[in-house]
Amino acid sequence: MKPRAVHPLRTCRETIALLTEYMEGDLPPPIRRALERHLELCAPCAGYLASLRTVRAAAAGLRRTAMPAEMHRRLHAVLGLRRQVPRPARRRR
Amino acid sequence: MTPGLSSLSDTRLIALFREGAQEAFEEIVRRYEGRVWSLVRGMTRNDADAEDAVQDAFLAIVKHIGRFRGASSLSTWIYRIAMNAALMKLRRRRHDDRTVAIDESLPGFDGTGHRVAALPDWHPAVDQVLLNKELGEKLRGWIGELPIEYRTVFLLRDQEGLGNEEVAAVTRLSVAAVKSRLHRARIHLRERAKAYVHGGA
Repeated sequence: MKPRAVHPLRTCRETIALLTEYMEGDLPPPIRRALERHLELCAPCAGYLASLRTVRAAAAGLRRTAMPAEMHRRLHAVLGLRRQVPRPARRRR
Repeated sequence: MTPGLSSLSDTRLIALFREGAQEAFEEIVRRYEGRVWSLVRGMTRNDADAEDAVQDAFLAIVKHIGRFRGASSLSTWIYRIAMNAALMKLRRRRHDDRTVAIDESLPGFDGTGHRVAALPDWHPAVDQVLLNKELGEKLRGWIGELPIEYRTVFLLRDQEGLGNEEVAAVTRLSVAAVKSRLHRARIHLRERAKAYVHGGA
């Protein structure tokens, strides 16, 4: 565990509770600065932030599952589409 | 596909569809079916329910397109219809029993607000697990464990890539509630990945 004297403004609990808002860029500047000071001094919380960023990147990188071909055909039949609409060959971002 | 339709805005496509242009609806389907499938498959966690929800969603879109006034974007409107179709499927199943209590995922703190970590808290291997494409199914499984109200927000925000305001508009939650659910969902997934790397399930 880390020495507590080096956390002038925020505890780890407060810091972790604010990490998503920090990642979204939504914190007011004074709170953001206090949080960044905490992160500079607290390696576990800095690691926690890095791991939340990894989770976000991993989710964004998930390949979008394609609708199975038979289901895709049935959807177009149910909707009465007159011709087969080409399947978008897209991946996430 | 009719040449040129793919370059039209959503607003123009809707106008054409209301005028009776079937091709415009086909283009709306082509444009949104992947996103609708992706959301409802993630929410329902199985192909059969997701297929029903996708069909229900697009039939609802056909039925209600006249009500679409453009107060929100077409994307928001379609995601909301898709979300509701998936929720209806889940409600008909009456129980959604493979979820976990995510409070258990929140980090422990001592009485002064400092963190108590029982395990080495993070490890480069955890990043490798999460970012390894072959383990994407693992991550999908963990997302599927989230209670539905967290799963939906996480899928819309981090998988589908919507902004917080659009997620709030789709779910009719406040932006603050979206952020809170997103935060807890990300923490749960982080803890699941950590437990996996350290030899857990």
